[in-house]
Amino acid sequence: MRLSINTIVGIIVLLLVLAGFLAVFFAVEKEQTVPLLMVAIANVEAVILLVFLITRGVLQPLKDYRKVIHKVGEGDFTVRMKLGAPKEIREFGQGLNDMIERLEHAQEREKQIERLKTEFVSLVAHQLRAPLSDIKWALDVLKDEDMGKLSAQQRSVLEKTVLSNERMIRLVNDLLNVTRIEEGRYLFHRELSQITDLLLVMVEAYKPAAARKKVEVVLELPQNPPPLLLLDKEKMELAIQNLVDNALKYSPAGGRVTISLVYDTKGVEVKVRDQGMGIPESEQKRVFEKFFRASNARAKEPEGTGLGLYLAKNIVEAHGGTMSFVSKENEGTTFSFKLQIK
Amino acid sequence: MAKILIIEDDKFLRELLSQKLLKEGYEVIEGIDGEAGLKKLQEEKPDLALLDLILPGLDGFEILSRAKSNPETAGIPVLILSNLGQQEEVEKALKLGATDFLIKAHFTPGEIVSKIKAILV
Repeated sequence: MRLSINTIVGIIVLLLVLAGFLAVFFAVEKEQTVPLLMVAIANVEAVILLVFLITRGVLQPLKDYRKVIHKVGEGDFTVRMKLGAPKEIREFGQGLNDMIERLEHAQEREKQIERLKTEFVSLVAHQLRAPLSDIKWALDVLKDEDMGKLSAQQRSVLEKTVLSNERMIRLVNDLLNVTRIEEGRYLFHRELSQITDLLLVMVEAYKPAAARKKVEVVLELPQNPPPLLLLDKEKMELAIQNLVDNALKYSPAGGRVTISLVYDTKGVEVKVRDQGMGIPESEQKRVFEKFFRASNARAKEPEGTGLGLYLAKNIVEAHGGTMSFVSKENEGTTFSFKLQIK
Repeated sequence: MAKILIIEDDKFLRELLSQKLLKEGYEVIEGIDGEAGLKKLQEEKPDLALLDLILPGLDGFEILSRAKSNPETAGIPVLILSNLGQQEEVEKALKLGATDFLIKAHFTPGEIVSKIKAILV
């Protein structure tokens, strides 16, 4: 049986009081009445006082320390032990404080590295943007034959270059958006919008790409549109685009991508379902991590940043929504997000 | 034919744009920095101005606000062409009176010409 210090102290106090009474009892027996009784009571009181002082001096600081250690355990390295008497306790506290301080410094360094990383990515992305625009414009002028006729071969090369340029621009935009999220500068401007309008426009825009891949894109909407939602249309579009992009990218020829919307009085749910390769179960918990790409996705499509789902989830959550998915390898994946109706 | 002023410090982009505009039959004038751009705007009174935001000397926001506060130039439509594109910048430009805000990486010269045509109808 394990006894707490409090119990042990209590037992000691009881024993001492008992001893005091016994002393008094024997004193009375020997008819040395009053003075000895007084002495005995004084003794007992002194013992109680002593125990009280020890409890205060040792147990109270230890209790305070326990609170501090608990906070440190939760990752708060700004707390410190109060240093009081006695000496042993003070030294113990000082030792712990030194340790916490080192942890605090390590944490600050880590934060600084994280900040530098974000700043670096942001700087690079910004610097890339201007030359990428230059290239885009130059390609456009060439493609429109403003500078002379193109041979079929030249046109074919040019068109591939245009696609590469577009991909780089998208990558830079994704990187900029990620750094904005991390710096808390990803601002949302919501207005009441009809989410089905957004889906209709998007499905239309995806038709050529889907036809090229021989994938059918189906939109399933309820008969009556849901109530208007407060949306940042541009960002919500980006979120859904990322889901549809993925669905298309990993669909086999002849497959189908189904975008559906259902709603009730509480909220709207949008689902993007594909019949693609699915996400291996062992990798599913990492799907929303920044820069993460599933191994089978990497093998099929070397291109891709692993930022799309991270961005999409952040955007949905900034709208107070939640995002989830179910996936089975070689059968397909369904991403869905829910937005509340307020 | 309508007269378009391009205020853009990047010579390459300026050339690409004027090439496109000239081919479409527009008259093109150029401002290579903030001061020169504002001067051309006031002296030549173009039918439309394409304005970059990050410029040596006066920046695009400053030019825009001066153009819009001068009754002689206030009516000239100004299209912002920028590599920036943060919501704050877009809103600031629109509030100052810009007709539209086009992020360079998102619009080709061909699409910019379409925008100009739609405004100058």
